[in-house]
Amino acid sequence: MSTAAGADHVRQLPAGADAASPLLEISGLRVSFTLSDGRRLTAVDGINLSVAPSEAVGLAGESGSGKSTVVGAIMGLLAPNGRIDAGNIRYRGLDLVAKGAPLRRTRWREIAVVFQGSLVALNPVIKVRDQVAEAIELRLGESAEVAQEKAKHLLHDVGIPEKRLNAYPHQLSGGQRQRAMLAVALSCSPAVLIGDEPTTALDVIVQAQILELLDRMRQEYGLGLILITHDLAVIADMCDRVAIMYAGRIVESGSVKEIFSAPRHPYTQALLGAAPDARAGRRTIKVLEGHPPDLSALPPGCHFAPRCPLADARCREEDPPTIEYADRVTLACHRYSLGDGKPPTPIDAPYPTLELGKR
Amino acid sequence: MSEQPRANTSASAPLLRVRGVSVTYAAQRSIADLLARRPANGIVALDSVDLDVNAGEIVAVVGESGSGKTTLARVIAGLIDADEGVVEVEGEGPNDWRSVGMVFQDPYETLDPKRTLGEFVAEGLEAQGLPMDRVNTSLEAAELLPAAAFRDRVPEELSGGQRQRVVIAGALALNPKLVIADEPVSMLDVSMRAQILKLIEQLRRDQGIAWLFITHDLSLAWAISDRVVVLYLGAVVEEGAAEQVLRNPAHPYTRALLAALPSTDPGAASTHSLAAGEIPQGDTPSGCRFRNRCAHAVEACANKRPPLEAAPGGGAGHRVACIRAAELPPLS
Repeated sequence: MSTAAGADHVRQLPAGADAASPLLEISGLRVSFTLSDGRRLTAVDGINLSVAPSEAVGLAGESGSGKSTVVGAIMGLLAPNGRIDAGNIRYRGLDLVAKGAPLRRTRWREIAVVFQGSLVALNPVIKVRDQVAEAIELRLGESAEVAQEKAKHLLHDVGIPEKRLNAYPHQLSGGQRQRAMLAVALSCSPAVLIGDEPTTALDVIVQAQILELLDRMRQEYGLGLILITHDLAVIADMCDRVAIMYAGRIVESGSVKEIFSAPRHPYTQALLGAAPDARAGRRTIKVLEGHPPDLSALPPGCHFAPRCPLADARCREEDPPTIEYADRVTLACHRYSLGDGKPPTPIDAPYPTLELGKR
Repeated sequence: MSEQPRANTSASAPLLRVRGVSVTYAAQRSIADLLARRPANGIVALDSVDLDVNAGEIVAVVGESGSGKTTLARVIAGLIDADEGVVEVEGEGPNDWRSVGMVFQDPYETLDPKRTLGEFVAEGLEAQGLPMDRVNTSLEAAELLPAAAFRDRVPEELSGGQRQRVVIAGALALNPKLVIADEPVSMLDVSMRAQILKLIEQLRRDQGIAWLFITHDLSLAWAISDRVVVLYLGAVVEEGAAEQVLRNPAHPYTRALLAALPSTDPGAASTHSLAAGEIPQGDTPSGCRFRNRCAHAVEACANKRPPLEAAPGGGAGHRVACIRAAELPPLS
């Protein structure tokens, strides 16, 4: 076990938090932004999401689905025109949305993030070891000497070679920078780690290396991991549970095993079928017509209805309720009857298909 | 196993013939290097690349960033000159190509926001002295229908997928036999991708257009192409029929690419990294350029660059550049 941070660290919870409450629990979160013309745009519309220690939860969606806004809300890093309209974000029972919430205390120390573009997130003129040490000094109040020693261990732990400790960010490769970012994020032994497209800019082999590292860190440190990505295959590989977002709402959620083997929401089916899969030997892809909606001019009813092959009149008029038909398994789709508490039989949405490479 | 590429592999000349193409970029020298009069070491972007594309064939060039795949696209399109080697289209040198179109990754960069789509397509026609009535037929071929409605619009009014169709229409205007597409769908949302891929296949089927499809995505390369060419640090390390290369990858690098591909298939094993480190950015290793990252490397791998030879147990046209290819363990 590393001495830098980790399981041996006895967590001092912030005032108002208690260890018996769930690690991180988001309920009914609604976030909106004011546009320059004065209109309001709802980017996140009443979502629920939770993560437990050592659990990995994936939040998936295309660009504009609202998944990165969720990160901003958790970390208190929303743009100035953004506002949390409703809902709670509780860390061990402590509401981070409430007025006077100790965000400075929880941000980075309890909940940390690794973003996609590590070149902008790291300070270009400070050596990586000093950046990690600085974070430890500032946030944990350690002496410079102790912080330097911890930084060294932590960077070793994430796989930065010893001779690169005193390198500047631009001297590192893309994968090494992402490792250094992970060291910065882990420097205060957070309990929750959020990866916001942490491997999107990396080549596939380096992506596999970083995913392996994230998975090892989750296990070693008992981290609750929230992985935000447009790539469902990465979630299939890494996560226990998954939530699929479309136009600010979670349309389907549950265990990765269940959702990926029997997707029920037509949007989940489209996303899972949209790319060919060489490892599964699948060349046929589903063609999803149309475009993601403009969030400032959302259609009434189910936001996905205009693109959905199953949509009927009711879908275009009424919002579908989100039904939890089994423990932590949800679906928001009018086309399923979810009243009896049984898993509904998946309906195969008749998308046009395209068989690539038909010779 | 004996699946043949769709297009002819007979003795007839290929549509595109690339032989021994090398490109070296001058490396930046520090002031210390200048003072010490150390010579500038060039960065080798392409090293003696051979490549054929037959008429009507889709060939995918697969590589990560730093593999040289974009340099290769630009050399073939005549946008940069090779230091060595030959590029011919239908036996002609770069000054005579009228039959090669080019589609780049980012339609936002290719299109001028102030010009109408019609003007964009007409530009290429004018340069080649072709009749202007091809503007409409090109937009129609790219499925921007009705063409008359699209030709007066500006890029801002279009979705990302539609913009990429306009870029494809611009390439089609010149009546190409070959289109080079450099990551044509990687900037698009998943839902837009399928529509562009469908168009590429239709154009091949209906008009016999050959595609050189450049991508980092091995799954996509396998799905859309007849043949796959794997590029690593400027050299071809493996090539063959798409199905063969993916089912029987013969080079440790191709195997590592495949093992690292995540899959949404509930039955698929999880990904793992079979290769250490990353593509080196400075000096290219001697001998086999992959040996520093390769789990199977032995001393002999450093001695000379391995030639591209018939893959052990592979089908026709399956070739690999690895002296240990015959000794690699079977894939699990």
